[in-house]
Amino acid sequence: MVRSADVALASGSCVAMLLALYGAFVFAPTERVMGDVQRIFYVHLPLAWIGFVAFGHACWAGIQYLRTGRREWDAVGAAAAEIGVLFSTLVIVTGSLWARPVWGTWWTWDPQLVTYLILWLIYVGYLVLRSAAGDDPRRARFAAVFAIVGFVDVPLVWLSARYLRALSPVIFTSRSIGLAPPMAWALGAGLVAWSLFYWALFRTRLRLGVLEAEVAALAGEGD
Amino acid sequence: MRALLALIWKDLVIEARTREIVTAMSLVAFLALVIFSLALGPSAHLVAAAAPAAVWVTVSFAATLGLARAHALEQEGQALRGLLMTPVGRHILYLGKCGANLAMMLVLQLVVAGAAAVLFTGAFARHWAGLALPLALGAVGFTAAGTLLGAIAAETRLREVLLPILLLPVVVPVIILSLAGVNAVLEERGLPELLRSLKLLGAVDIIFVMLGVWLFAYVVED
Repeated sequence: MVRSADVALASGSCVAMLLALYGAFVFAPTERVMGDVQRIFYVHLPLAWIGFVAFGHACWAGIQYLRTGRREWDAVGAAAAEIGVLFSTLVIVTGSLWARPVWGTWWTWDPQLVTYLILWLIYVGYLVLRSAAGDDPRRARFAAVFAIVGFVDVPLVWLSARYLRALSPVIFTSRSIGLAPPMAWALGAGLVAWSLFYWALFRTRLRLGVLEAEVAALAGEGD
Repeated sequence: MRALLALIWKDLVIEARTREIVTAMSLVAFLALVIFSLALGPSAHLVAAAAPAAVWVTVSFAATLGLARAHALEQEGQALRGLLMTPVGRHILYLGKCGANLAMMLVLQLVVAGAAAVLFTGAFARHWAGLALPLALGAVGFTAAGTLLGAIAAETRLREVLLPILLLPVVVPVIILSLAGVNAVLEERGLPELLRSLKLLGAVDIIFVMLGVWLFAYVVED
């Protein structure tokens, strides 16, 4: 049941991804201080933004599920959270790969890093909750509640993480990189490509989720 | 209001008769503190510096255990189902459970802070009045989130294993801010510094309580 819209979306995201890779590796000039390692930012930053959007999407689906009780919203939340966890895992990995040569450490307790790590932990917990929560309507309710709590928590983590920074000396002022226009274009291309990729993955995962629910319903009838 | 007080009273009477949860929590916490203090070694300076962190780590894990047990009690004999049949609003049920959990967590904090004063640093005893506020406000946020998520975890297959996985990342802001307050008191950095973290901590508490009041009905709904 693959629809033509999905095919178009998948091919579109393929093309955009190739363009974004070209932008990151060829079009954008080499950064003067950090060198080639800076190019990881054209992947890292879009992933970070879209990962965050994905969790917002899961929270939104949670609110809609609690409001309407429609099963589709549960599938939307599951799909968004799963891809969000995938993207934010990549965010943390690419961030560490960048930080090692530039900051001289894999990890530092910068507020943005703390917030992303906690966000990642919360939604990994969300996936564990889904797998442990048993039957369908209850699982959907629990997942919706936790998705909302988790997302509301994000600004709180960020605000409190700034206290950590206030207590320990600030060694790095991160993300204060001025972007030359070609770099901004490469970043923009990355953002478009990863957004399309997210949407393509999301639609596929959503369809899978709906099919899973149908199979479960059919198996229930057979018993 | 009377229903709320009755709910809190019910849980506290059960606890006073069995003393199950507070005893277990306190023993676990004491053990954790002893292990901490052994692991940190004989350096008095190191031990004193690590004290606030050790206290909060110990309190979070012991309180998570206690919360899981408190919600398991509601499952046994379908006590929660009985409560749901009474003409009491879900938000009152939540606040009642929250209040009882908070009372137990405050006792736990008292035990842990007392033990820390003996095992770690006398500063905990000297500054007890100043420490009470950041610790208690921390307990409010912790139990507000813990009561909501505890009700979820108790209904799943993993139960008490799931609760820390859900709860601990969510309460990170509470722990950080409460610790900021505790450190401000212990290092005598003055009232404005303390109030700065407490204001934020109070706001976080209010947000968690509001989330609980709003979402608890969806968790316990059948």
